[in-house]
Amino acid sequence: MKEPRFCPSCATPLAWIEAQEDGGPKSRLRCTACDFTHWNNPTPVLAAIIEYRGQVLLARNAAWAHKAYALITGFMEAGETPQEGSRIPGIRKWPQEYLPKIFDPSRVDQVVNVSQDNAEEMCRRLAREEGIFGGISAAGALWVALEIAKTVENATIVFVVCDRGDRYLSTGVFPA
Amino acid sequence: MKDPRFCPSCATPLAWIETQEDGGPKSRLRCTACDFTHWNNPTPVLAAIIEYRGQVLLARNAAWTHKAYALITGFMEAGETPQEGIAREIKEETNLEASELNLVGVYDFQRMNQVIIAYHALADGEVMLSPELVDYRLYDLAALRCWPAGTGYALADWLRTRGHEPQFMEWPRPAS
Repeated sequence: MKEPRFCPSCATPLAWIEAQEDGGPKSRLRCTACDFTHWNNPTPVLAAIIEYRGQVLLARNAAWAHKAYALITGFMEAGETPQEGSRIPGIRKWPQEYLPKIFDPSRVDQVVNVSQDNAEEMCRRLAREEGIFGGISAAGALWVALEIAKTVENATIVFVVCDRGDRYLSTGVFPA
Repeated sequence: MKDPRFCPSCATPLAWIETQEDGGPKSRLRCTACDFTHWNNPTPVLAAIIEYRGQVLLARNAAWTHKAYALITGFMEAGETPQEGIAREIKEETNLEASELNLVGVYDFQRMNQVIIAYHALADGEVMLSPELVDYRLYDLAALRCWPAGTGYALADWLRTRGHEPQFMEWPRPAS
């Protein structure tokens, strides 16, 4: 990425300014009008060595002039674990503008990701053992509640059954 | 980091614009005048489980109101390898010299939009804390309690490699 020229907070031109940091004096592109600093941290890229039926799959990028085959890579996105984003309806990453007004991220201590398999299995258990016919995201919340229950004692743990199960009949989560 | 408001290349106000990306349509803060996109990728944070004379060193951050002791962490800088970066942080924050670094794993910390790259560090020397740390404690491996978030999962995974089933603590509450 080329260097930024203007402050993204207040549009003032940035300047190379030396300031005292924990590691000693350090020159960085900083705003002269507000407290913005361009830290220039590296960007995390995820890479996979794909083992497919006993062999390793490499691929050639369409943009490359040379004939190299390489690992599958991609930039890590906000709101996902290094391993995988969620496919569960309702728990998928929401675009910023769809987030409900009552959502205040500063009140979230921790985000736990739930695998599709764990949520679907919990969905069936919720129906079979408790007689509660809920959706897959509700079951995902229950899975997290049970995980938290393993780590604490004398705690009140609440989860919300946020959708009914009948809307998910077509997904195959409830086999006949 | 709060959302940027202005384009760092041309100072035009940014807007939420949906465009077609490799993964499908995606809404991001983009410049309406040039090709700048605020990708908002997570920031890489380096973390160290410091093994010091047979015990694990945890430190308390001066900015914390609660009494938690935690791993040594720091932002990865441009122009360094993750190993150089974590050795630098260990030196800056504890004055110890790392003689061996082993990758434990990579963990998400979505609340802060960070990705944690966690190392086990064998380190020695005389402990001298930087001003950002107020105290440290040395723990026997069996006495360690993990916390249910990013670096705590790293500590748990490392303890398993050393034959200890990790014990989790309740989330520390802020001193009100």
